[in-house]
Amino acid sequence: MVKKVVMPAAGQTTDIATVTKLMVSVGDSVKKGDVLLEVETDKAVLPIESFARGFVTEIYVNEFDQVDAGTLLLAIGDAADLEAAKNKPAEAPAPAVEDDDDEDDFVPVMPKSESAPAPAPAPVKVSVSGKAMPNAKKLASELGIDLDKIMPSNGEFIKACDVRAAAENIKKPEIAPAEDVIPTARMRNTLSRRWEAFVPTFGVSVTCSDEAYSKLAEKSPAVSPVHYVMMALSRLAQRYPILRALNDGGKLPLSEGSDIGLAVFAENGTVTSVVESAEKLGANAIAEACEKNLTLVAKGDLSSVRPCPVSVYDATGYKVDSFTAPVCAPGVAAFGITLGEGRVAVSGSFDIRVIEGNVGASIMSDLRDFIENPVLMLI
Amino acid sequence: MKSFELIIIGGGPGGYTAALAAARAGKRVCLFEKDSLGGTCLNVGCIPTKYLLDRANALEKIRSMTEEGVLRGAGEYSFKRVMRGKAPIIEKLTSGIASMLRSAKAEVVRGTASFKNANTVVCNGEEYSAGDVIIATGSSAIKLPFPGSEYCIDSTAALSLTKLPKKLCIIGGGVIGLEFASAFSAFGSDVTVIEMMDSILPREEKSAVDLLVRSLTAKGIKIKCSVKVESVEKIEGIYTVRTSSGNIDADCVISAAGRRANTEGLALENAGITPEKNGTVAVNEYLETKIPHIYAIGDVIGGYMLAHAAYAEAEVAVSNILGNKKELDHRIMPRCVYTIPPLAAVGVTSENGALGRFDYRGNGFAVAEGESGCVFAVMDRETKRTVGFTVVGAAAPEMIAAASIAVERGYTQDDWRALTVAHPSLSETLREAALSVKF
Repeated sequence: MVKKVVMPAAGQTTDIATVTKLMVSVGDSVKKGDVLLEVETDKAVLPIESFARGFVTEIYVNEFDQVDAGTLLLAIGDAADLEAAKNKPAEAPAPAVEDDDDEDDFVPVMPKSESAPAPAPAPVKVSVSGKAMPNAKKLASELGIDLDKIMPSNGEFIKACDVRAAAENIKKPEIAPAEDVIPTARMRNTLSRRWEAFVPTFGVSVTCSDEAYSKLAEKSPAVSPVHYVMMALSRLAQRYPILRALNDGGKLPLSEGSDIGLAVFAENGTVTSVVESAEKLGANAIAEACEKNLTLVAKGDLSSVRPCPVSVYDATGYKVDSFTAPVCAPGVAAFGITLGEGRVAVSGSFDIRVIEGNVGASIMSDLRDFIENPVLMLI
Repeated sequence: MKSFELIIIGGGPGGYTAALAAARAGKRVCLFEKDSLGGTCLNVGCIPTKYLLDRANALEKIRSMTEEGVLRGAGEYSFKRVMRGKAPIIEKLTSGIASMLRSAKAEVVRGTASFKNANTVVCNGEEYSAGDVIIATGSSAIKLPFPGSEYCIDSTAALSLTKLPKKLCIIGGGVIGLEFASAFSAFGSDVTVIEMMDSILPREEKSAVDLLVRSLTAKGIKIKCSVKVESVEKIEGIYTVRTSSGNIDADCVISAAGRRANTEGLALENAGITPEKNGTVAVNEYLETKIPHIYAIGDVIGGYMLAHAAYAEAEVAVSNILGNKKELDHRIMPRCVYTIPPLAAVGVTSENGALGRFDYRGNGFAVAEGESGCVFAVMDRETKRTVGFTVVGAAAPEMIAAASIAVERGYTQDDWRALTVAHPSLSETLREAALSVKF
């Protein structure tokens, strides 16, 4: 009995494929699992295997034909079927379809500049000549294994189990220096994803006298103006609970302690390392905690990095008048700190969806009072 | 000589509507058409343009869905295939008109008719006479009198282009020019529109026109107002349009600077009629020319030059021929510009009343469809009745029908309040705009 081989559904995104190679001819003997032909989708080269044993009695497609899922590809039968097929009178050639496609000026729907794909991370090289099952290719891509270096166990094409075996055999690379533990791309990607959530903000700035801070710095030189502002903010957050909340899509989970994040301009992107319950810490302890976090981040240890209601950006090293800090969701506020002659300037950015303008102004006004008159922090 | 009760010259929207109405009322009608039934509207105007704009709209939708990331690739399209697809549509509609005329028993004669006298016309050497005559000969594109105007194609030729112009210059920012600009821009041409006046669509609601201009400009169409074309030159296959404010290079120039009534070859003088200076045939409120039993309708009398104006005029003329005296009332005349997005208006603008507006952003249906636009309602300050509407945004030409009823009936805000509009629908914006009018 003749069994028809049809084009399987190639995947979730496409059902159209091109026949790239016919591996059999009419009359060839085939067994179950033999590769009959190869088709290529926009994603991968798929081998079409025989599910039956017998002879190829007819082939309905040619190389470079476009085939849809369900297209009849070839027929497999026994010796009698083959004989019958051979004796079948040749069919009259189908009338040539008037096809003036050549004249058609198919152009991309998207304008050229827009249709260019966004630069993607360099994909793992996929060898077209080295045949591999789509799931094997996917796995190789995920594991970062070059398919060219894998030998197919069946001698024909690479299967997922071959990739897994290869992955186990690959020796772990030499231990990289600590700085390299975080792959740049991954960290960048994570940061980019986080910044995708656009936070609408409004800004309020204050310029404060640095007199009080200078007095403190004389005694505790480790305390920078940023640590000092972080201390003030941690106390302020006890007065304004919103500065202890995350904006989680309308819900505002509140933490008891005032967690203050410090933006660390790391090489692979800016991260906020968090000083927990800073309201319980003095200026020196905050400075110490920041130093510790910084060292960890520099080593690639991101244990202190996480979403935080309030972040502080240190721009005191630059000759700028103000720094408008970006609010990174689910944070609700961010503060940019700059220095000038006898002054500390703080620019506050507030998530307009959860903090009212008057509240923002009030926070900044109180912050100035705290900075200029630290005794108020005790009340 | 063949004798009829009514002769109609021209088989466009005005002519065939009049022929059907009169024939169905029992009149023996003879209709003359020199080209194809359906006139400009069906063959080289509204319908083929709408076909192109539908395809153009679809491409725009595909682009926006690709940008959204819903579609992985936008694929390819063929301009030639788009253009090829319009012929079957025109064929279907014209054959529909022919069969309607046949079943109404109106005779159709193919050829150019001209007056022998006030009751007789000659066509293909044969004479036809009737007690009443309707002139419905339509209009043609104006050829502007600047050097090199022969390099410009008109809208009819533009509908036959087989190759998409890379750079297209359109002279005239009227309805036709803007519709072509929208379609060709969506197909991928770099389009510049030159308008002599200081704004496009000067008689429409200003805020709505501003919004339309912003939308068109955002799609990459360059609209240059207060610019006069001086000449068009062709150098090595490239056309250079020299204007009062610089040169524009293009590989195709479309002239869409207005239309002129078709009276040439009609031998109106034999019927005792002299065309006006602008070429139109003058009529009174009953659509009679100065010869009482000769009527004129459609583009040939000037005015709105819209197919649906011609339909309305045909009804009035036939009613008068049938002895039911009727005056033409064009106060409620919907006006549509099928750009992307379209603009549609009825009645007056806010210069003549109190304005209310409602943005598509406040409408669930529009938000779901990703459409932007705005509805402008105008009410009379004294009578507090609806006197005008302008819609700019998706489905504007469909929505203007409901707005026309409101203008025709003179809806007050209480009437609007009492009206239940289906939800979700874009038409909800009409009610919202009307209720937002502040006197």
